[in-house]
Amino acid sequence: MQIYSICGKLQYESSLTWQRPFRSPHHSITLTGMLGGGKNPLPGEISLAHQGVLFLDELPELKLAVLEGLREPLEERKITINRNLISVSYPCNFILVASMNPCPCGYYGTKKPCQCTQEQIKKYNRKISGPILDRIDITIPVECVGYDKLTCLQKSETSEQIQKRVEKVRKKQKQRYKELGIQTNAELPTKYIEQYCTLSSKSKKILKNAYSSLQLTTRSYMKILKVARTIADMDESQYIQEQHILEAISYRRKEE
Amino acid sequence: MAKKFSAELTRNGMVIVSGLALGIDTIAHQTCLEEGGKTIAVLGGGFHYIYPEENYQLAQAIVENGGLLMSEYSPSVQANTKNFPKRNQIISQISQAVLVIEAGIRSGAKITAGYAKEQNKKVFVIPNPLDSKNAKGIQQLLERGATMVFQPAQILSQIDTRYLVPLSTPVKIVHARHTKQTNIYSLLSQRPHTINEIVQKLQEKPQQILQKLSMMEIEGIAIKEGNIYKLKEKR
Repeated sequence: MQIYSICGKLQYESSLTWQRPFRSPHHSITLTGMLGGGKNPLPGEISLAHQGVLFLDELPELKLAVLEGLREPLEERKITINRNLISVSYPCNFILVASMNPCPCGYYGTKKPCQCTQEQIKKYNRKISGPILDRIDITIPVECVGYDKLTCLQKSETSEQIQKRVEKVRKKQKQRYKELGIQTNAELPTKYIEQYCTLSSKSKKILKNAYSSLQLTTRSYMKILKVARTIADMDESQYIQEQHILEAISYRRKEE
Repeated sequence: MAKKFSAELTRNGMVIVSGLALGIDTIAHQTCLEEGGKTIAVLGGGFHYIYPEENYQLAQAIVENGGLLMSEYSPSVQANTKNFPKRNQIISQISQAVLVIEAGIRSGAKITAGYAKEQNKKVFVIPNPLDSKNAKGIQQLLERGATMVFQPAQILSQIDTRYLVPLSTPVKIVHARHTKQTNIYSLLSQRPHTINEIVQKLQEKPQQILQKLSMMEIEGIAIKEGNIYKLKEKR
């Protein structure tokens, strides 16, 4: 709320915002707009999304500098802006949600024929660099909604039901990390990962094999553990088992 | 009609043999399974290329219910229309009799019936409307010695009942390759698949598919490019 107050974005003079922010800037946004800056350095979108969600649609369409500029914020969860002898630090602890097409025309891997050459597809995917991909915990492919599904009367899980499940797990995590002063697996510092992300012996073996055969980095190794811990939480399992590790691994995406 | 005959014959212990093709074959196999019977599908290609693709799950169900998939070809041979007449010959060879539901002039059914005649097996046909495309074909078959039937019971009374298998016969799976990795492997040997395609074809929970795919990736069997999985090329 303090961040919003600086930008003059608070709607009412003395209101307390109870909803987490949801920012979705257009992909033509500038570096300053995204990270912050200007004459009297103001917070950028990443800080406006603090404690909330930053949604970036059409990720490869972002200017390269802006995309790469996200590296540090995603890692440090805060951004320092230097301007005219002024140095300002803003927090930016946001959940990044991004979307992109499989290829320039959008149909690669779907039932419709893809118009792109292999080189075009590679070039498109290469825009998202290895270091950025490494900082992304979960990648999920989403397919076109078939006509049957669109008109299907059969109900799948409602958002409310899913929300309940998520809240239950968040409560569990908050309880777990009471002493550390953090609230989620994502915030867990590296030095505590081994302590809180206990693996079964089978899972240890799988992760070890995965590390070498999939050429994981230390960062991705840690992230897989944290995601697996969340999957295990949602599965109401005390320990991280093989299926949780395997699922977490499947959400990783490597550089093309 | 295929459904009616398949159901009644299955209930009486008949093992239904067909070619897993779309249409009559599929109805014959499916109805047999629905009645709790055993059916044999003779394939026009290798096991890794179940044709048509739509019947992959049917093929699986056939085996799981104590039936049989037969193929003259090694697993990696693609199904080809050139192979179909030979496949039909086998269908006839392993059968006591052939029932023709539809017989277009140049249809597979007629080819099968032709082989049956060579092999001195009975050929049964059912009545078709005079103005249907099958009329000429049925007529030809009748001229060559086929028997017209109106009820499944008529078939049962004209065949050797020693070969009927009571539905209650227990199924004993001797050599089951139950690891579903085999199924994912079979899909990927046909061509690369997206995760969603695999989930749809195997009708399993996405989580389980993802777990198995990760395992295959770690073991070096499969590689992932974007959201497409393919088999790793052997050097």
